[in-house]
Amino acid sequence: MHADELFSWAFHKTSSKEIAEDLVQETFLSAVKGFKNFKSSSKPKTWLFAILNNKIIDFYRKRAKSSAIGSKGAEQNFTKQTNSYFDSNQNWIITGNEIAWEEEVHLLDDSEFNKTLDECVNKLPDNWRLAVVSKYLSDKTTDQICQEMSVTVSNYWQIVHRAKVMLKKCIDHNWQH
Amino acid sequence: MLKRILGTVTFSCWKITEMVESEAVTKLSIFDRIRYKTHLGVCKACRSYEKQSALIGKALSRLMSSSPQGVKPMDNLAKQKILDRISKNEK
Ligand SMILES: [Zn+2]
Repeated sequence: MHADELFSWAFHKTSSKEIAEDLVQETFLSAVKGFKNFKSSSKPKTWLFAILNNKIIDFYRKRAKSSAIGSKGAEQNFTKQTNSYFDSNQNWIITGNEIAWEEEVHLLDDSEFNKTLDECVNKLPDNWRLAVVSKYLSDKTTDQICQEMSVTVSNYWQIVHRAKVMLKKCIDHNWQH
Repeated sequence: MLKRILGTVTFSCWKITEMVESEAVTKLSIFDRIRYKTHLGVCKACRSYEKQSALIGKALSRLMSSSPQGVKPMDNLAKQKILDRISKNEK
């Protein structure tokens, strides 16, 4: 039934047993309801994971909304931090700590690299993580994501931009290879 | 110094990293496209960023769509609850 796999995944993404259980439950209920729409061309597992991933994004969204006031401070700090990587002319400040990790195609299969990236994503403020995760996790259009996050399109790209700069720097600092 | 001149003739690094992200690159005028390319041509940091950004994107898509290694089993009680809910719904 894939329940364990779904649960592991949800747990990994939410770090909470209770929330993960709820999300898996909702996933199965949606799956039962939507069974008519299930195309036999896709594997049941893929289909269930797609539903679960949407539930996880919903969860992130709710959390981002409920912590909107509290996370304002965190967002400001991260904004300051991303600014600090650039000089007054808005060019990169070269620290010498930059490591070359752009050429290596095999990084995608490097579990250490993926672990570092995952940790870096989890360090982002809720709203930034939501923006990045929605961009890569869902098949939603930019407009849909913006609507759900209640931000303008240009605002959304600004968040994605800052989040990506942050991720790059986080990998620069934390990935030992 | 070279950087400062570049900033006015081409774009700043900040602007470039923004453009890399937003797919705005595809909608640039020919003039701006030349400015963009020129910047990348002389700025190693942004060239590096462009590739890293794409790599992060790819890695994220993969990370998000793959299941984690090592399956953590779900409580039997929680599973039973799901089955109960489903059978209730079907009635
Ligand atoms: Zn640059």
